[in-house]
Amino acid sequence: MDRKSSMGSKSPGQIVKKRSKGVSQWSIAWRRFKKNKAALGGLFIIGVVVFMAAFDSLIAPFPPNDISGFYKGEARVPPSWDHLFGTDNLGRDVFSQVVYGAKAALYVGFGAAAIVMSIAILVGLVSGYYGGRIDNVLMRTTEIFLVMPFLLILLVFLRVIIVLAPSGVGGLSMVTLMIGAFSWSANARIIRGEVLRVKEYEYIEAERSLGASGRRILFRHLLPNVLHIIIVLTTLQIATAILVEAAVSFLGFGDPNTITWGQQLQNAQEAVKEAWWEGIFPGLFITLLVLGFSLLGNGLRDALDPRLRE
Amino acid sequence: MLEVRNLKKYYQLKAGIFKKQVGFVHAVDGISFNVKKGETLGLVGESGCGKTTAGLTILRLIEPTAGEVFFEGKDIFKATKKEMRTFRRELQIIFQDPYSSLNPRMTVYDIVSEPLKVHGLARKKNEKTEKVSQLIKKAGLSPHEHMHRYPHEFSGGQRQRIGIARALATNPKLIIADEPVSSIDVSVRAQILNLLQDLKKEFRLTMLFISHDLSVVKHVCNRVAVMYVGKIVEIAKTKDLYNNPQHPYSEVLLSAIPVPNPKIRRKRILLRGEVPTPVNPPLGCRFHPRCSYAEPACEKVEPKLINIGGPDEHLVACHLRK
Repeated sequence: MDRKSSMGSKSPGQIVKKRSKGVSQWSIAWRRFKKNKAALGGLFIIGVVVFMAAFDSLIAPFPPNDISGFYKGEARVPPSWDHLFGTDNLGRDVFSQVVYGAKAALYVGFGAAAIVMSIAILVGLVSGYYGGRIDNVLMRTTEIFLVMPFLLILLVFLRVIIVLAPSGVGGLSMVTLMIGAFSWSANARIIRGEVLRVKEYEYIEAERSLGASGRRILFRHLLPNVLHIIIVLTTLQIATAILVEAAVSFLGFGDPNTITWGQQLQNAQEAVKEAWWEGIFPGLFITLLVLGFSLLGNGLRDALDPRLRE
Repeated sequence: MLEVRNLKKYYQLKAGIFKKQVGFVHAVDGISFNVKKGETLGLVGESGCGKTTAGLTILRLIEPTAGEVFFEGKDIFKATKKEMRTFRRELQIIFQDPYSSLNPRMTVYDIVSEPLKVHGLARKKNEKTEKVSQLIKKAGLSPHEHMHRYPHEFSGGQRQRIGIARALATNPKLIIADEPVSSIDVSVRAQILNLLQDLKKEFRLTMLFISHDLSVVKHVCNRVAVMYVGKIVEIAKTKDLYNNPQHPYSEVLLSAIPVPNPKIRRKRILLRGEVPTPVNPPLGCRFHPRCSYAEPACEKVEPKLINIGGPDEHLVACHLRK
């Protein structure tokens, strides 16, 4: 199917030139990914939210935290043409706030996932490749993190830091850092497992018989062959981190000075019956974005899994 | 050139939650042999008899339990890190499975140039490209067409050619070929074997050829060592071994080679019992429970490898040949 379309559009000379170039497994994966409608849908949702975050001041009809509506008696007015998603308890335009919240959601998602994956990749690679005592120490540490009641510990730490630390410390970056520091353990275990599988292959043995250094084997041979798992885990981790931040903010442990969707939910919870629009719309966007990343993650998994290769 | 003395590799068997040691797997149990410069020594035996473990241990890809391996007079197991780098360049291995021995994320160019990079043999880019295309050509592939392709785009035989090109990249003196053709389709097996023969001549290689396929071994090897449950039972020139096997086990093995002509009637020796487990190998001669010539002495005393062929060196470990 693919071949037909590419043959038709190219001159014979180009085809001959193309032939000596190999098709990498990444391009096979991309070919397969393109056929997955759900994953492309996920990518589209994420694209919309990224667009919102990038051009927030152009898209939002009102400036952030604009409470002028409050003085005009426009607190908690239902959706209308002036206020597409209605207004909240302080007369802020819910649509504008949702648009400004996109940046925070992406910041927490990507930031926490970056921290999580850096720790998980390092622990997983080292633990899986070197084995023995190093593996034992790292995996027992991982298990300690794994059995901790994650959300509870997170809330305690956030509260303690905010109380103890000088003002100015904390905020969204602290929330991100905390989510990152406490949720790497499961991913580290999965990566370790994959390393254990890959390192038994003879091409790793071949590399050892050449006398290559441990670092070379780890980063040039093992890492590229577990990268597919890492990509999938990262995508799913972004979704989880966004969800956790929303939960933390909703419970009142977030950063009150940043506009986040979770924060909006918290404001909305006192008037769920009277002003449903205040909570529905931020909630809808949380759901959509998390759904987007999950669909993308699942699509990537289907496309990259070497066991599903034709 | 390569001398193996009393090489042993035991694996610990652990059981229970406290990892109590309950025994050893005697994978390789004190084997000695030498490979002379320029020859091909075959190492044959049934699967599980320790041939592959022996090969990997000689290269120190598995740490040995005991024994010595001398390569050109130097002990590999006592080598420093720097000496080890030299050994790694001079000793290479060709693997059994051409599917798992090539990194699927790398192009043929990357795979074959990897040894050059690790050992810093070709620093400049065009020098490297030149060397790699030479190797690929020597291995019977086309540099122009195949160099930038990925392993999954090749057939098993072609992949093994890539593996051979990689092994030759460092200009090694000795190659351990670990069943290089046993997972390749029969129709291309001969091509790969002939390629190995040609390259051996061209690069003046010495080879340790591990295999379970006796007809292949007859075709490529100058001398053959027969292994049974971690021990070598017979070493002889290929011709001598095939025409006049001295150890009862060798006799049985040779009688199992299929003959292409169905009209020829021949004696087929069938063994009773199973191959003993290397966890608990039989006392005395390891073959005695299945041997049709066994004497009382065979159950108690382990036979030593002795020369019965005079200048031709026909070594056999059997009480009945003295």
